[in-house]
Amino acid sequence: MGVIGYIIGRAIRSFFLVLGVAALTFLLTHVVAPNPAYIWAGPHASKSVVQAVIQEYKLNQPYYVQLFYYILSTLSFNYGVSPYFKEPVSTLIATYLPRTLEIVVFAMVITAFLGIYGGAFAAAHKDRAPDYAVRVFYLVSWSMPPFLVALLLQLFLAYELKLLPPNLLADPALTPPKEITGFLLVDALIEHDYAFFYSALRHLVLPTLSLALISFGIITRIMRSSMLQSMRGDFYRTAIMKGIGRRRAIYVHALKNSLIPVITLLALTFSFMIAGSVVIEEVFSYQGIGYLVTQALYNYDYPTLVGSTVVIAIFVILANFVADVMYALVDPRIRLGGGETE
Amino acid sequence: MALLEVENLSVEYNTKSGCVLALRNVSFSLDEGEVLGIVGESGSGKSTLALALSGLLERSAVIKAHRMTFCGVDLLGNIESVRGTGVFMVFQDPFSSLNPLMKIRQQLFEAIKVRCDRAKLSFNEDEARKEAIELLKEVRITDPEDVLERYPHQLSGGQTQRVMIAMALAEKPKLLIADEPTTALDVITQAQVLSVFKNVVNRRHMSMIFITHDLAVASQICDRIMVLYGGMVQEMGSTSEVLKDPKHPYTLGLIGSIPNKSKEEGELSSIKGYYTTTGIRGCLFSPRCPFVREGCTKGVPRLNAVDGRLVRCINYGEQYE
Amino acid sequence: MSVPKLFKNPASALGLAIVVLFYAWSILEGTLQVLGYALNDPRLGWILLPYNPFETSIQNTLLPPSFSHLMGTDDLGRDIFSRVLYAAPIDALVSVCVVAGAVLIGGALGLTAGFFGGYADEANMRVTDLFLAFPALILALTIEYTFGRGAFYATLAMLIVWWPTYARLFRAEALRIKKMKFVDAALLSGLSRLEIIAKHFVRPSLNTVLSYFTIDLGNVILFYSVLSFLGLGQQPPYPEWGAMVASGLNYFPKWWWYSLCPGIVITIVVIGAALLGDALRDYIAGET
Ligand SMILES: Nc1ncnc2c1ncn2[C@@H]1O[C@H](COP(=O)(O)OP(=O)(O)OP(=O)(O)O)[C@@H](O)[C@H]1O
Ligand SMILES: [Mg+2]
Repeated sequence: MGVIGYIIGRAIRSFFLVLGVAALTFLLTHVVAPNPAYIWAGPHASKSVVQAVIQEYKLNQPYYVQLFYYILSTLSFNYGVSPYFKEPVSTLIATYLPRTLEIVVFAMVITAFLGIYGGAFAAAHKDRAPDYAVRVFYLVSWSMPPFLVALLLQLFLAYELKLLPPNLLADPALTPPKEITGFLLVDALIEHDYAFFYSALRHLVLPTLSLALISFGIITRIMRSSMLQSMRGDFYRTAIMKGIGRRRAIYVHALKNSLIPVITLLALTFSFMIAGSVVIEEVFSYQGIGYLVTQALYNYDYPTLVGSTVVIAIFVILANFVADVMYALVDPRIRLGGGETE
Repeated sequence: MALLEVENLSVEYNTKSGCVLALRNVSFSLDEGEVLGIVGESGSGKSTLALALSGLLERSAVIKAHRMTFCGVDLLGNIESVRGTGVFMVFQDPFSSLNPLMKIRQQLFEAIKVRCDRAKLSFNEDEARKEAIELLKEVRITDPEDVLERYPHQLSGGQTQRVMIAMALAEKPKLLIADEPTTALDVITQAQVLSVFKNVVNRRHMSMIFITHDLAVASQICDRIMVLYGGMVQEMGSTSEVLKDPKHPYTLGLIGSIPNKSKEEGELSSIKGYYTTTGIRGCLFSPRCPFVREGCTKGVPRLNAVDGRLVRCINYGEQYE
Repeated sequence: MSVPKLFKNPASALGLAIVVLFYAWSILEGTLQVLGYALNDPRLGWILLPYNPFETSIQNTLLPPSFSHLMGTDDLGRDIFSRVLYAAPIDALVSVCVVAGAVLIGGALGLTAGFFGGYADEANMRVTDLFLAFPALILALTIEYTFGRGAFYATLAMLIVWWPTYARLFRAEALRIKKMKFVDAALLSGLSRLEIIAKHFVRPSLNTVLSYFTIDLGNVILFYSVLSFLGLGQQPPYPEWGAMVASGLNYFPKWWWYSLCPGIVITIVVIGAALLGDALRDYIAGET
């Protein structure tokens, strides 16, 4: 089949998943929802607004017509107008989502690094002090609610040590750069606004750290057990026996072979971080997609909530697709075909 | 001086469900250029012995030995300095003994580099490549350039074992340990790989410890044979003598279970009962022994020297440990 | 390894102690609350607590932790420790309902899918794929928004996002068990397929899932605390751990205990469940 076939297969699968996401949210918001019109319009809407909403979302049509238009608008990124922000939902998402992606990308890098090396380090020192230290650390960070992690970081790094700003996207005294990509750092660089760039960078440290701390536990845990399994393998014994040294055997041979389950897990971590941003951005008043979701929640803004949910799900599917492709690139057994895949 | 000297080697595995005594007071020595076969059925401790010699036992295993020296180097403390270039081991399962994510070339280069580093020589990619190709030819791989650029999953089991042998040759070890290297292969490939082992060992004048549960295979390649049962040496002597005139009843049983031989006799005279070593008094083989008698359970028989051979059976002297 | 020996390990013993304490307290306090409600005398609900968790007091607002108020007081002068204790039963109830419900639904679907294979299995895999494409929290938020807020709807929403994981888990178990010899024998013996599932699949797979189940109790409590933090749990003035942290945000960091104390309690309970779950996993792995 080869790698191209594999990737095309995954892409088709991903596309059907997106359709599925549309169908599932449709089922939830149009079919099983008690009184869809009132939910879409919001609790304080007047009769005429409700009528307008019924017209707009075609709620008086048969379900298959509704579904057709719903899928059409999902695929064309049209999620209606927010009754609270009075703006198209897609515009809102285009503004808020990149800010979150920015912290998620940094957090993913930190998490992957901490998780992979932490897990490998713990496995290399199995049942000795470093192993216990790593395990206690990830147990605690994994068991803490995300808001507690965020609060503790804020308390110590911002309020006690005054190293970092405690909240917001950037110093409010600075004017933000024109929105080009939506990514604050990138936009600031394009505009050569280095003062804003530096301020935004400092402001995203705490949310990034919080996201990394709540998620690195899973990766560490899986990496550790995956490493232990690799280190029981004959190829690891071969590596040791050859005399290349324990360090190289562990951190080159065993580590590479242990990465495969972790790659799939990174996609899951992405999903987990986006969900975590809902809480973390609330604590840091960081106006990303999580903040948008909570605002929608607090202000009875259904179109924004549903639109964000669908877009987030699409991004998660995309992340899974990327992970599948990476997986194929790392593992020659898939890349070149012929091998068994478990 | 012997190449390898082992005196009273014992290995114990500590698991959650208790201790397993996998090797008990095993002693032997190996000369340069000699091939020692180790036979015994599953669980008798063959792999444990091989792993103990190459320092690959897991940390839960406790090793005790009065002496375990290789070229005068104490293996218990300084195994690191002789890994690869001194002692090299080939494993049973060809499909898992190479790193699946690295090309054969990279894995061979690693071995060559270890040897160069130890000998304080500089490592040169082009020369290493030439050498790798030569080595693959030596183990009779027909398309060495092609194989170098492949990943392990693109090789057959027989090819993989040859690559392992080539890797061993790359490090020029004095002792090669092969743990059932042909068990996972089909009969024809088995014979081919076996002959590669034979050739290589002869040509390079290496010593080898060849582990197998198959006496027929052992007889083709080994100078001497050690029979293990329950982690104890039951009989040891030159291959021809052991096969011609087995003294220990267990050895007799093993010879009886070589398939084509027993077919001649019309029935399969294999050993009765199942292998177990727990809760047995005296000789570990006594519950399955056709010649068992009263004295067998009195104590563990001593390893006696009989006709230039070692036998642990009271039929050759009623002495106990 | 015997059961008492298992808990010689201090970490496992700690996990067991935390989990037992939490659920025992919740049953006791929960019974009193229900009784108080039934007898129309809500005072029964705080008869064991140091203070009435609903009583506000202007003089005592935002007192730091001390011997009289172990976790301090909140902005209305209510004792935080009493409120934390009063809120425990709802978390216990939600966690058990969600995990047990997910095991039932996921078990039924996963075992049948794994056992029958073919289209049933394919459908099961695709549907669970779909659910797993959403970040659980986001989907739960949307579900709860659609149906209504409160502990009941939170439980419903969590159930909907929770079962697919168990369906996957049980499917894998079913595939594992199906490979074993005795299943063929059972099929030959003329038992119907459903009987075979009931007889040979349910018990062994529950064994494997048990440790997962225990760890998951903690995960649900964590998840529920987030929902309640976002205002989707029991509505005020009923105390809730997550909601208490959220209302403490306005007083952070000067009155740090308001947010931190309930947050730390959540952490302790979740750690307890994780430790106990790990201990059970090692125990079960040692048995088989
Ligand atoms: N890692 C381990 N932990 C605990 N016990 C072990 C371990 N490895 C081997 N044993 C036990 O030690 C004994 C010897 O095992 P060993 O693998 O050396 O046997 P073997 O002769 O190589 O058998 P086979 O022919 O099956 O490879 C067996 O009873 C086995 O159960
Ligand atoms: Mg073996």
